[in-house]
Amino acid sequence: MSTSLAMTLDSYRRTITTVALVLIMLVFALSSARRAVWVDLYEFFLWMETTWFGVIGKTWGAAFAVVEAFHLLAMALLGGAVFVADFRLLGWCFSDVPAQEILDKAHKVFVVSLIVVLATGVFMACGVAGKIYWLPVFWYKMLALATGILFVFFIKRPLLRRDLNDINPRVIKLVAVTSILIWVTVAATGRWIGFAGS
Amino acid sequence: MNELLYNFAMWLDSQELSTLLHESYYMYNWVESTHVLTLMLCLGMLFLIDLRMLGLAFPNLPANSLAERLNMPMLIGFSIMVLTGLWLFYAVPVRNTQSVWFRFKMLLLIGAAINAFLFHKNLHSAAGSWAAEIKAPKNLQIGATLSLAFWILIVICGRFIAYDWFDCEYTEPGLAQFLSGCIDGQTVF
Amino acid sequence: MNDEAGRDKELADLETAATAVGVTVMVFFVVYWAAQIATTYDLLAMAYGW
Repeated sequence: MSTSLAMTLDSYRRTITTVALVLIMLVFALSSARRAVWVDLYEFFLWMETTWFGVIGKTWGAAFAVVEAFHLLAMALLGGAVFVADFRLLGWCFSDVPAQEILDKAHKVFVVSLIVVLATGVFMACGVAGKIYWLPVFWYKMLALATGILFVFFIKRPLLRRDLNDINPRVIKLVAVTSILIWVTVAATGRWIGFAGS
Repeated sequence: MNELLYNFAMWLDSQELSTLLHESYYMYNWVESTHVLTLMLCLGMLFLIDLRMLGLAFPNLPANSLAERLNMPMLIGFSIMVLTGLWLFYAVPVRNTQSVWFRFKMLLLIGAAINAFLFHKNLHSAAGSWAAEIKAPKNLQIGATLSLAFWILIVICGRFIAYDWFDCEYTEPGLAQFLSGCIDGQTVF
Repeated sequence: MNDEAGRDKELADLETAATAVGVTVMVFFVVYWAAQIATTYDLLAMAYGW
């Protein structure tokens, strides 16, 4: 009995890790731990404003605006990569081209644009660290972003590296819709940071 | 010309709906967010087409078939951007009319449109043998590079509209006011 | 044969994990937006009193 249970648990290692992670996040969000961590992070956000990025971002408005524009451009490219891959999974485009071909190439574009988005994003965050620290929408965005990155590298890529014909088509569609939802939410909450601060 | 544009903007501004849109925190921000988020669809597809022509994305897919297929989602995105863009203009007509960035952006959009027209003409006349190659023919590569440049500048200008560096209100008479089309003795927004 | 079964188990694990995350994200999404719309509606109702 115990060995078969252990074997079952062992063969569902990724599922268990995932569910555990989700539960930890839920407990974290609903307990006082969230507030404690938030309070502790204040020093860090103050420090961010004193870094080079922070000083440039705060004092040189034009540089900040140009970085903002490139953040948007990289977001557009990231959107292109996400949409092409997910539309292919949903069977809306390129259904005559092997999915693996589209997925692999789209993933390359995705990684490059993700790096640019993160780099420009860190720069912008340093410039307005004292402001965004107080905005709930900023933390929602970080949650969505972390979810998105973990989802892509821990769930989506490992799953879709397998032969798509072997995977349950419903799961494929669910993965595609989830991916679109996550990345659109990341972008939407990001835009809302600008509104919330004004 | 500036006077004409200004009067037209003033007329739009005098309409109740324009004021309502402008003053509605949620409606304005929703439309603005839609405008920005649609970049992911419109420019996302456009960038992939352009990068394919330059051999930087999807090198194994036939370039012209990729361009044809991504055209539709791109145009859907573009239509949404035009509609929300018009809406945003209508909500803040005078300030946009007298924004030097908005004016640059409109000029760049015209440039991008001409470039897109030429690009498609070249794409059709060049159809065939090169499609499987990693890089497109020279003229299509130039078109793709120009398209990338136009759209990068358009996004930068679009982002700059939000900043008031060169608003009529904050500038002295001179080049900035001339480019922004400020009018002597006008109401300042 | 054994190898095949091992791969299938791994796939089942991947599929289950993906489903778990997908469902969680969907539920969170619905709750988040429902809450957003509800508070916006309340705010507007307070402001305009309908």
